[in-house]
Amino acid sequence: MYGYGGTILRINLTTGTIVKEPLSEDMIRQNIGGRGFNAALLFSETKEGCDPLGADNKLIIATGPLTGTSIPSSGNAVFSSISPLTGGYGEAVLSGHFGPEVKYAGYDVVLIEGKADVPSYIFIDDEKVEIRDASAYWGKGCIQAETFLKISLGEKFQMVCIGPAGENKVSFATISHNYGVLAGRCGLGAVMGSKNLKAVAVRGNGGVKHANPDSFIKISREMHHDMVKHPELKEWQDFGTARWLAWANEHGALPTNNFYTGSFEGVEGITPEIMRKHIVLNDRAAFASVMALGKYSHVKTRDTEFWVEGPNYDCLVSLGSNLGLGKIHQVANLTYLCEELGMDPVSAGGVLAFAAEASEKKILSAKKADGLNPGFGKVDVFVTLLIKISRREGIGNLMADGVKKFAASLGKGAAEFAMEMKGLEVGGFEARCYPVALLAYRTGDIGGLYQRSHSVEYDIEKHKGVSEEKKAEMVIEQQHLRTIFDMLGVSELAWSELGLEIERYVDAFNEVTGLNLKLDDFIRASERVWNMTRILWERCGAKKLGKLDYIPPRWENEPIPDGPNKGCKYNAAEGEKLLAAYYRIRGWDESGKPKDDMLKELQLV
Amino acid sequence: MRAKIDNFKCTGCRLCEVVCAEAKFKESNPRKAALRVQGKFPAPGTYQVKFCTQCGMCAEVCPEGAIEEKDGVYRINPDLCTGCLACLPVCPEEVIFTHPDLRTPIKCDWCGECMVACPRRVIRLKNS
Repeated sequence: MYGYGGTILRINLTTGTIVKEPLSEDMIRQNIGGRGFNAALLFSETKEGCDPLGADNKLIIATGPLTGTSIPSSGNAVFSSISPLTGGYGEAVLSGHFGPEVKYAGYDVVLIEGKADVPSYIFIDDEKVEIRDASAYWGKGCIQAETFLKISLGEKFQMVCIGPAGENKVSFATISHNYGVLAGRCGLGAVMGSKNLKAVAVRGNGGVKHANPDSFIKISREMHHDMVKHPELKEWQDFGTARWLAWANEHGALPTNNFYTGSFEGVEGITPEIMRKHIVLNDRAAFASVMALGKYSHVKTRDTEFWVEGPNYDCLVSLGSNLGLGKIHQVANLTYLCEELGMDPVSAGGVLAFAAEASEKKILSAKKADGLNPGFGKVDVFVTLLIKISRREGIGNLMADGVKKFAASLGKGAAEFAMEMKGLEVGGFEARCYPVALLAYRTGDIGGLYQRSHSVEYDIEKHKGVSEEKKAEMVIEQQHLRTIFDMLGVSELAWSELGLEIERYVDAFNEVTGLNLKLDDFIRASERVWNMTRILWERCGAKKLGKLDYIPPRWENEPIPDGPNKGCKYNAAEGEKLLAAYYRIRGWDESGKPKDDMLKELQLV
Repeated sequence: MRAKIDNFKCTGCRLCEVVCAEAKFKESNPRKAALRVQGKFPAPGTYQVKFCTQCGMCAEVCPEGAIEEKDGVYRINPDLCTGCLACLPVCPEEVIFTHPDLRTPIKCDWCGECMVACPRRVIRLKNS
């Protein structure tokens, strides 16, 4: 089978059974790969009333048909499960080198179910698959555990592992790979922890065979050639996603002090230029990535020394401006802790920012906060809190459930400044003045995530004179197009930021697989993904789906207090019109539920 | 000619490995590449590209005379190679590789595919 390993590897940790199921051509044509496979498998195997931390929940790791090839940034693997943080469809995309290795070992999907009796790790060496004892690694941080596993197994193994946060089922625990590269969102590390699964280590000698190698290689080389010529490539290579920081601040879109405002006074201390000057050691790329977005940094002070992946844009926001921290060493320190303890920096930062505001507003008392007084800019308190969260110790136990539940437990109006959507902490950009971005955020299938569709740049640069119907249509179009990259197993950034045409990816797919799919076939598969994940939310307990698509009260009710967008506030009439148009175009009813005829058309009933 | 490797520019993307295998074996498979990128992590956080210098030590030990030199580049003649692997341990750069699919070892012939592909120009050939 060209382009695919041809096998779904199903591992049951309760019974210890390992089954290799053939991948059907029907599965490929309907769902392509990666996120498509994950959504389809969860859709067919998840029962009503899901328990994210129960043995029945499945952790699914899928590669795409382009994963592990020379197509730019083809290192992606998609991790999916029912999220312990949101209770609905959860997903995180991992870049790096793990996905290609899974593929080289011959697997398109690794599906993990059940729960091991003792701490375990999964060992995959081509056909040889074993569930091994992980007692020696349990309790160790992500970076330490990976170091020891590599000493034991060898550098050729690629692996993912969890840290103490995952072991202690912190709702936003992450899965870590390659010393700080994260499958960050939705708490999938806690799903691993609930299964007593410390790590998955894999080595593969097989490769990806092409149906039409000469034409595939030609397409691939041309894509690289065009990327290398791109005038903006150098800046991406130098600064990675952190290059958005100054732009976001200038446009009042930089989340600051728990999204109180959109511009940060201390931004000068955390710019990518400062980062590059003081802490960056090396650029680090995902597999076959020309852009090399990763920045590997080293920090040495009188008290401490550590090596850290990043901080990238998300960390600079969630662990920097949104916490009122204006020194790059501080942001790097918190990023390092998240990476080693195994927590999603965006959610962890969201919880810290919320705690800081709750404490300053006297909603969170010092007594309840274990004698700590969290507040914006107090990095030492944040460090202590991150460690407490990872151990679920004292106040950390409440914070470890995420902002939504933490706010509910505090009461006293705390939900008014709880920055979460569908239970997922919001990161990225301040969006209350940006209707298209806001629609993309609120309709995100895993929660408030800016990467799913148009981000704020569309509202800032192009929105004028466009009807609501057209805007909703464009959000959906982007949601579908971006899904294609997650199905193929490649990063979308070469397309979204450097303008490589999506048709070239479709051509590459056809040359590598020998199939003959059109862009429309991919868009249809994306649409299936968006409908399957929507139904999954309903199956997991969302009685009225439309109620999931809320806007955080802060964005809904508070105008921006200062900065370039001073006084700007959410336009409710426009927002609701956009949402209604979105439902209509998607074929969903007024309550946000997919209509039966739409599901029939997509062959989902 | 000699190879010049600027390790400090390497980002560890391994595009060189995958294009090498694609050029030689029409397959995306870094295990069939004739060079390797090694990362030293978590500390010191650097990469090293292991690349053939065409020093010829493999040819010196080959009992079959199967590694032949032409214009300063050593290539394995598959018709003469018996797969004894005497060349492997003597390679100072550790860049002669084996793969279960292949009878003969994999060795770099300076075809230049990796040099063209590398977006950082880490590997270059210079006149000595």
